[in-house]
Amino acid sequence: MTEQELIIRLKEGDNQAFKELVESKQSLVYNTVLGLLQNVEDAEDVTQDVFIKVFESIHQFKGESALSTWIYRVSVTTALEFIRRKKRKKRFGFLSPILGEDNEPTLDLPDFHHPGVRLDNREKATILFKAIEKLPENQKVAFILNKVEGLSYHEVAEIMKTSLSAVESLLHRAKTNLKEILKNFNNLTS
Amino acid sequence: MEKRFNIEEIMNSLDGIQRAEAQPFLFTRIMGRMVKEEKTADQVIYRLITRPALALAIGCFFIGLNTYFIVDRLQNNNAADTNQPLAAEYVQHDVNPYEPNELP
Repeated sequence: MTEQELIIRLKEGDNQAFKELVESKQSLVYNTVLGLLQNVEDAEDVTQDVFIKVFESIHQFKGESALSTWIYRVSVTTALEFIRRKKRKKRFGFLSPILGEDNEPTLDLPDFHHPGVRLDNREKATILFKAIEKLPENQKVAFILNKVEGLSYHEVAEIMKTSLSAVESLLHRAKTNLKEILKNFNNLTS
Repeated sequence: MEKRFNIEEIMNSLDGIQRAEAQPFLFTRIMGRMVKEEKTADQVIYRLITRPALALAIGCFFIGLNTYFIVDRLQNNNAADTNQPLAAEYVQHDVNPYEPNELP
């Protein structure tokens, strides 16, 4: 089935087409979301959210970009919304006994081990992910898409709806900031 | 205690990273969740509608709306009635200027 046929069938609400979409794009969505959230359980939930959103809003897809670019966008937006919601929960956590909200864990991230990292790099990557967590949102997105998803600058620019030079600048600033954060980490641990 | 690494080593630690794979049966779980969410949405609507306070409020709202329209219509009818004689008084008949006026 071509991408065009898949989109048409998805717009008709075809479950089989949806199944094919999930099977072909699940690792793309999961890996992106996992890189941003750094939590396996949250990434599983958000991956499901992404596919439900894609299925429900496929009629909004105009075909101006590739389907995978659009899915990347939905994944990034959904993951960032999830992070913001968790941060808000943490900020207003003192109200939860009054409001009776569920006691979901908030944003205190434990050490994150990405399953795709080479064994000899595992410890270093955990430190790097801790530093990535401290980056501003757009730098974090650009860095994850480029380094964890392995996308080119051009693809990152398309997903983030920005120019190539803006992505270069974002990644340059991300790397500078990461080095600065890591320097502080090293000072703390030494 | 954490080991101390060279910053460049840490920065390059994602080189050769593989894509993480989602748990199996993702599609089945997504479909299950969609059905569950649909049910939950129906339950929320049912619970809202069957709540006595809300049912009473909706009832009051419709009774109020009906009363408003009835009163409004009655007032309009009354206004039309009072305007009728005045309109009749000022009614003009077509006069043909080429016809000779009949003298009484």
